[in-house]
Amino acid sequence: MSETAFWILTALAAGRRHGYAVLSDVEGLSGGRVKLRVTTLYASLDRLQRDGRIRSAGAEVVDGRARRYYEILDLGRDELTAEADRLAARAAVAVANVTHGRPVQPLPAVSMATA
Amino acid sequence: MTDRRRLRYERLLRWYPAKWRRTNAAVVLDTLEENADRLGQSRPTVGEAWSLRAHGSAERASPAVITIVAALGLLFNIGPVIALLSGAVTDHPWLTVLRITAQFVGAFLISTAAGALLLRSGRIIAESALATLALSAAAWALGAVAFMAWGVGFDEADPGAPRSWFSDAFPIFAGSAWFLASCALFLVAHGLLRPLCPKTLRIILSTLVAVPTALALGLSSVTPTGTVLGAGVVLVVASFRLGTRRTTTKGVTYRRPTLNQRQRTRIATGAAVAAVLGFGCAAFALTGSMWLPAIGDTTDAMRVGLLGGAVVAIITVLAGAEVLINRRGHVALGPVVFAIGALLCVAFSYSLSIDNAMGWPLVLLAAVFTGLTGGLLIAPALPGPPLLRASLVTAISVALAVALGLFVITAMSFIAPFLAAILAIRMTRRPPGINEMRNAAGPPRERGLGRA
Repeated sequence: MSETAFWILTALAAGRRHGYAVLSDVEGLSGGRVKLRVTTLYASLDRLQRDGRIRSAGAEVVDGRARRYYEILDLGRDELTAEADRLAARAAVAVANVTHGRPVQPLPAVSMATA
Repeated sequence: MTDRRRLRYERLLRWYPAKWRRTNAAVVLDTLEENADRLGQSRPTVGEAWSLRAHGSAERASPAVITIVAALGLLFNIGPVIALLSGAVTDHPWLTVLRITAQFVGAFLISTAAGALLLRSGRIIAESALATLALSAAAWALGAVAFMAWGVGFDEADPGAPRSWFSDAFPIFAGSAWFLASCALFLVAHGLLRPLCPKTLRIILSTLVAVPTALALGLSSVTPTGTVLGAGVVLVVASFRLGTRRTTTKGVTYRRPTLNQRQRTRIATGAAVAAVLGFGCAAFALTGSMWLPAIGDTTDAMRVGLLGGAVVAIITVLAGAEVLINRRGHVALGPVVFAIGALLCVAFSYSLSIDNAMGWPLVLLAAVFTGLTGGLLIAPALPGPPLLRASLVTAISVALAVALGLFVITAMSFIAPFLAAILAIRMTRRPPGINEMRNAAGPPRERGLGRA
């Protein structure tokens, strides 16, 4: 799963969102690390929709601006869960090794004369 | 200011196809405006403008367009291939220019279709795809010019005439084409290696992949056959990957092999006999003139060996046909008939004297039959409505005939004995379907083979 798809699905997993809200949520959820262009957002939304991971969930005009809403489907939710589990398992292994691993001991100096 | 900004966004959105604009333009335009308001932009940024152009162009790469582009690429390469195989290649400079131009335009179209497939699947981003398209267009154009310069230099070298500036510039043209193609492939590889986190490692790997691949593509494009095969692969992938609805074919069944022991023994025996005879014919083709001088020289022994090998290979085809028909039903009859036809053509061509005018056309016909064999074998698995499938089968058959048919069918006397041996061994082994059938029936209740 690409990072863009991961963050979009993560944003939509919280509930139905319109395009601009997804854009803002992705930036907020990723701590400002992932900033999507509007073009990339809609291309990704189109692809996710085509693959059956999300679907369009109505449109409305708010403050004179057209908005289209999207919602996550079961397939998208399952894949997001699987990806999150995979990342969590990887992180858990790293944390366990960092916590319980012994610090590396400096090697004893070897004198050439004794060798 | 806001109206001018909106107008600029509207102009940039014209890069998208009209159908897309009718459905999405209003929503995307308002999202662009909302985003620009938040960021305090009075006009689209340069990056944003290029992104809109790139995504607009990418949106035009629909499944139908990709298939058409790949098919056009195939068509552009068919002419040069026919010219090469039929011996119609002339020394007329303009005809040579025309042939090379068609060959490289075809290669550009096929590489574009392949790139569009990667774009549609989300493996490369639109901005990279647009840059790759521009770079590859320049690379293929320079490649064509380099190829022409090399040809001119070759012609000039023969009479010992002084070399022209054009032929002298070959290394510059070829080097520039290689550099640009490497840049284009770097962008593709960089996109494909996106999951690889360390940027430096990604750049190094992308470079290591792009540079030799560009050289290999350039060298393989000297003859149009490799490009034609590429077109066939792109067409198959396009038809499978682009969401065309799968349709079932009447009479096609994919069931577990139900060959009984008697059939298996018969096939194994036939294949074993074909293997022994085939290896004998191959050995005769290679060494016959040494121990049977009456046959003639090395060429005569080779022709007799190949003739015998082609006839013996028919037994292998018949043995394989029984397995295929058992698995796939009567749709497998078409490929079998064409395979036998191809082998008969080869055998007939070798039965004629070496300078007989019919010899080469018969080999070409055998290549066409070989392509049809491959195309018809793939046909039942192809998706789409009958007309699309028929077009795909035709295109794939042509690609296979041109790229592989000639080499495969002429070497079949050497390949078939190995295939026969493999078939014989498989048929003498325990049928793999037994365990699957037992599993499908449920867990074993009593002591039996499953528990043992």
